[in-house]
Amino acid sequence: MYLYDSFDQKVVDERVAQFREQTERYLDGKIADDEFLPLRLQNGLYIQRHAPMLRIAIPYGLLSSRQLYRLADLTEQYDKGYAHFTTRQNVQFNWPALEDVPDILAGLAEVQMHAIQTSGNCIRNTTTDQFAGVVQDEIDDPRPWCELIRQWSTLHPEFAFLPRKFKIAVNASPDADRAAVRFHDIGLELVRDDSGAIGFRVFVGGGLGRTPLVGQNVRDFLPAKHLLTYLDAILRMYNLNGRRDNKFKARIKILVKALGVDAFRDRVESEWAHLKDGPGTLTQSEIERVSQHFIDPDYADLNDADALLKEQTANNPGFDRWLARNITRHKKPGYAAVTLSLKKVGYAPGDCTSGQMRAAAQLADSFSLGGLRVSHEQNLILADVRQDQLLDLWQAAKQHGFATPTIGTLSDVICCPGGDYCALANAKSIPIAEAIQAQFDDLDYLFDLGDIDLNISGCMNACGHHHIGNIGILGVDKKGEEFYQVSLGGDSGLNARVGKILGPSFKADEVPAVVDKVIQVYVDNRTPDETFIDTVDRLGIEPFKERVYAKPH
Amino acid sequence: MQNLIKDGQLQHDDWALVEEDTPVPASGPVILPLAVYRGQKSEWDASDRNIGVWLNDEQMAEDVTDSLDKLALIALRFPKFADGRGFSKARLLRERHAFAGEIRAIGDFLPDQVFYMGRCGINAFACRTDEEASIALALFAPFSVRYQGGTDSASLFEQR
Repeated sequence: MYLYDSFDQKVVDERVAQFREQTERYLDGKIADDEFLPLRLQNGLYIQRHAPMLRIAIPYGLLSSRQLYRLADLTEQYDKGYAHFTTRQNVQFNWPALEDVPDILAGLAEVQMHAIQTSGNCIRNTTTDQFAGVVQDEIDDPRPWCELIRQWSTLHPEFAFLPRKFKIAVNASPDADRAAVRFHDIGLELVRDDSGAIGFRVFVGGGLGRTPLVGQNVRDFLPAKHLLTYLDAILRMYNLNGRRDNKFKARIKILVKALGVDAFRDRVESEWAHLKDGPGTLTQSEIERVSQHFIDPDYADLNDADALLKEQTANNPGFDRWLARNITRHKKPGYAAVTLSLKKVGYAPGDCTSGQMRAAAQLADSFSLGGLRVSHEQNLILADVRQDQLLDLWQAAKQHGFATPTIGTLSDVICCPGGDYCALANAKSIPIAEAIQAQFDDLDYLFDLGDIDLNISGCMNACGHHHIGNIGILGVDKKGEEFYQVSLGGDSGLNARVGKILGPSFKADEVPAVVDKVIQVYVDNRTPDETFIDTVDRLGIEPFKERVYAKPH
Repeated sequence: MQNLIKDGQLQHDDWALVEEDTPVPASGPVILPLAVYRGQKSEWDASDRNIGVWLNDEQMAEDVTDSLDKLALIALRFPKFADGRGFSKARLLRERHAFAGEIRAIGDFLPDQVFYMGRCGINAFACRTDEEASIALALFAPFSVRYQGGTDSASLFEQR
């Protein structure tokens, strides 16, 4: 992963000093609440339902064991001994005291971490595929580009007070999109041109929230060295022309929609004409300097361990299921990427105790070269595990509650903190996730149902990505009561699209039965090997609607 | 009243800021509303007074680019500190249109924003109060490292 040099370290150290001074001034009554707001938000600090909430950046989901150990210590010293991994590959502390935040940030800076721009109307943490650099089908490693974007966006003087927040995601797999790039303000897809040169296909104007939209293709091929000047052009166009009169219409997706993608593209291109080949153009030496941090580790020369694993599954009930769901193919023979599940039934999705953090850090040290990743599905990944050590890892992971073999199934719920914690939420989300997980607790059944994304958001800000769940659940408020709207057919991947709303919303205690009926329609109608999303595609939502809203006889 | 910072120092303000509905003073340097300046551009351009123009949030850098050699000062009015359009306008004036006169921030902005404003080419700051001007003076360089290029320095990667 990227290691700070003295310049990078200075940035985070000086950021701590700056925020300490700002916090002191605020506590002295010298900054008004509404003026402290953008200052604290640009450091990830919200004032929430029970206490402030601090969102800490995990750039493009990459974390070292040392950093995770430090997070564990900080949650014990300044919080309640746990933290929440988010759908944007970040981590949140739910109970820090405002006056402790500068010290927390100082503790983070010591391990090359920060909370810079994790909130506010600025450029947020860049996200990517949790398997970046280790999957087989990649065009090129997206992580150096994410790091270049991180540095460019960090404390960017021109774009700190945008009309609204701004999220960038990068995908490098031609066959899958685990970063949901078409649902970001800017989605970048690494591509090669006919000569084999690296560049980006650029999508703009995707997003969830109140007006879910799929990003539009603004450029088919942007040569890689022009990445930052092109981003500057898009951001400048947006900063000057995005709506500021209504925060619900302020995202770039509304500007793209209002202008039409062709006019939008023309304006970006004419802005870019001034910036192209200017001083912001990436140099080969800078690209190489950053790429150096992401070269392959010294992998052992191994063969795939199929025979050994087959023998081990025969002797260890449950191991085969874990292998089938929680293991991802690695580009190097004899290695595997392992997903440690944070979706144990009875625990809030994405929550992790300090003890679990230390355990995960230790597993990373023992089995995966000391590195971890956070996925937008809110799980932890060990990306470089030897196949001949998978059994040992599985047994160790079980002890810490990480081995729930449900990755990608209905039970691997994506879920925001919801009304239990968040001041914005209309409804609770975590209890809904738990009720569904409890309803579908038969692993054989889950296994048979296969891949189903179920996403839950407690309000239309859509932190739980409900629009792009194959099954999406949205908390809504009806005259002070919590209701849940169900949608079907959303897809975060290459077939990016927003789900369709099934019909009138349901009370909380009805939701598990509704999901059950939806699943029954799938089971009754699927063809052999047909996934849930493909069945929804083939049938449309009518049969699901009929079953769910059928009057009891 | 000592609320003006220019080129990093508290300064006496010689300029009169003329609002849209107030008469223009008979003498001395004035910062005119764009419409007032445009209405009698040839006379203002011919006068031997120091003339500046202020842009509201909706008025863009392009609205004054034909007058840059005539104007000694362009003020950017921040309607609300959260409105960041002025940052881009300042950069366009400096970097694209090579305006060398004073670019002044006026209106509703925070002392904590002067560092970014300075990096975008704003070199004068009419702070909301004298107290905020003295706070702002201490906040001009919270960072010694700059990842991106600005009007003040090249990007870090060009220097690494």
